[in-house]
Amino acid sequence: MGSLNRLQELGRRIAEEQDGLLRGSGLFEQIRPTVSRMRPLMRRGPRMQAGRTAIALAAAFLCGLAGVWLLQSKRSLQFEIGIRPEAGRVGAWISASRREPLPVHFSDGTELVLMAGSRGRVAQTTPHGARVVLESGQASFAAPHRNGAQWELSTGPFVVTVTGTRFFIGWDPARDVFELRVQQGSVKVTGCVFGDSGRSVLAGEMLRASCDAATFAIAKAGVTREMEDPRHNDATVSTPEPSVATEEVAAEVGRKANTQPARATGQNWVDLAGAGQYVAALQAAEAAGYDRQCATLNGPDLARLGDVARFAGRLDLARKAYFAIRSRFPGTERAAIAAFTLGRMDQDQEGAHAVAARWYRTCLTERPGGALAREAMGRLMEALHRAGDRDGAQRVAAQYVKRHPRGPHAALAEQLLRVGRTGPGDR
Amino acid sequence: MVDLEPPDPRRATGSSAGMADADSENSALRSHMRVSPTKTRSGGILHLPIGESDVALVAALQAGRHDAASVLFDRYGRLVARVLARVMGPDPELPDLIQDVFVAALSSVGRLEDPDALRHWLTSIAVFVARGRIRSRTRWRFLRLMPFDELPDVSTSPVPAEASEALRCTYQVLEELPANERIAFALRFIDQMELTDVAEACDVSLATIKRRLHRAQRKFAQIARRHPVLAEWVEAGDRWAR
Repeated sequence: MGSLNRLQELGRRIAEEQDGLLRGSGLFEQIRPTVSRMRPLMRRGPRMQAGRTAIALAAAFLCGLAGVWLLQSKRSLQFEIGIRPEAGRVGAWISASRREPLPVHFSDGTELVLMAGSRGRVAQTTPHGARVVLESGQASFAAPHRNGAQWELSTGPFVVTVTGTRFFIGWDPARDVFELRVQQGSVKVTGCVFGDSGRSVLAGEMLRASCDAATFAIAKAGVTREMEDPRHNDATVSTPEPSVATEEVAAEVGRKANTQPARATGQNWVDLAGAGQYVAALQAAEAAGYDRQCATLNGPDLARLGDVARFAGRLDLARKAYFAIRSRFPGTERAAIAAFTLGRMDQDQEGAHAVAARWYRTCLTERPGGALAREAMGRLMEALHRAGDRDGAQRVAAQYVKRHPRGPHAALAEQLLRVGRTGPGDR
Repeated sequence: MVDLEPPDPRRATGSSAGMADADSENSALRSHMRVSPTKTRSGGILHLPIGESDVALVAALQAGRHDAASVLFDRYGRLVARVLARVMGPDPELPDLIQDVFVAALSSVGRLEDPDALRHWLTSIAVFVARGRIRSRTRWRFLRLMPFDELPDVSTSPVPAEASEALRCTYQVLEELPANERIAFALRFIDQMELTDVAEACDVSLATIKRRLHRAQRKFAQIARRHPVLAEWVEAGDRWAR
């Protein structure tokens, strides 16, 4: 019964933590607009024999909720236009005024917004999506991910195929400029410079293309990749000209930058850490938002942040950074190194040898041939020995001398094995 | 069909408060009047809020009211999110899964015979959606590319940094359980649901859910011992270790 109570207590703590994360996530505010636009598809008729007969006839569809999807799949999407929605007609042109954008809501929750002065039409609807033509101007598109969803947006000679994404698209026929910025999910662009095989554009990437000039460029936050059109050997690619979209993304990236200057010294934490000023570096990192850094830094910088906190004597913050590595980059070498470092902290600073042993085992399990495998095995042996697990320590010692006969813990391993052979009285 | 606007908070109308009960509302719904969303010549707009009971809400949903979906979300969105979070853990697809649940609910609400079962019904839809996603991921797991060493460190999921190692490890362990056992464990031990409610949500008998829980408990404890944080918890049981 004791183990049952422990599981329940663990579950309670996990639930508490999850509820806190849900509350702070902004999830409901994010989803509510989409759900609010959905409409019940089933209209309940009179609650009489006719309805019950219909249910009986449709009994084959009522295994779980499988029948719900089958019924929905047979009906093409409906859509409404405008803030005071009016039913949309397939094929009819839709124009946004010069002052305001015009939303188009689809019955599966997808939303297309034509920006001011833009023009397009819904050329076709199916049960799984629609084909939309952007004649000119710009539009934003947000589709919830659905298995089997098929959406196609064509603009000029370019076609964007999506299954569940959020992106911003623009087409200026006069200047022959196509722009695409993907915020969530991924899309595939075909046509013109991309040919029939197309090119995928991922979340966080911006694409700019010109059909007549046979050029395209993809920009990612902080990185610009120049691409050549493989069909034209002499094609050159220009780096994306600064556009409103590019500057907006750059500004957004700037706000998330992981090396914001410290308020106190004017230097960022990376520079201060490089100069060995770990306390000042940690203060700078805290001033820039330590939790946010843990959530947004790349792997190398996050590891560096953890080391800065550790060297500055703040083990609690160091653990936070190392745990963030293990959460955000599971299965990587860096996550295994983080496990090793957590073990070192438990062993060297806390004297928690049994806990440290588990971290070393985790490191070895995740990366048996990793960069710190020899050190992890040696420290595991030491931690087990100091935790009083003599048998465990000797088993590891036997492995250590085989694999690392000249390693830094070889002497300890030999000593433990000698004790094992001759008994503790001879130590 | 009636097409009535929800109450506009900018325009207080005395009539809306007096007509808030379900009987009046159903009467209005059956009257088949269409009210233009714009101002009428008399200057007033009739607003009938959906009653607070599940009976009223289900009636509004089954009548196809435009505001019914948002009311359903406001009342039960958190329940659905909670059930999904319990089963899936920190998951980047949680928003999509929540939407999937509401799409399924709105598509099949016409078949809901007992409005009082609305809460349980939504829970079972959430469980169904979660199970489908878990099984789908299990089928595609073999496509993971190896080895990882050559790949740059790319954040694989937006697990918040403040999420503890214990939370992450708990769901890492749960991923190793079969879908049905994982769901039963999550609903019983994390969501603290009563056994009968877990059985109803999973659409199985009480005996079946007890068997699943027994297997899930045993496997969870066995696997959890490999994780330093969980091992401390499972073995010592009285200290919350990070």
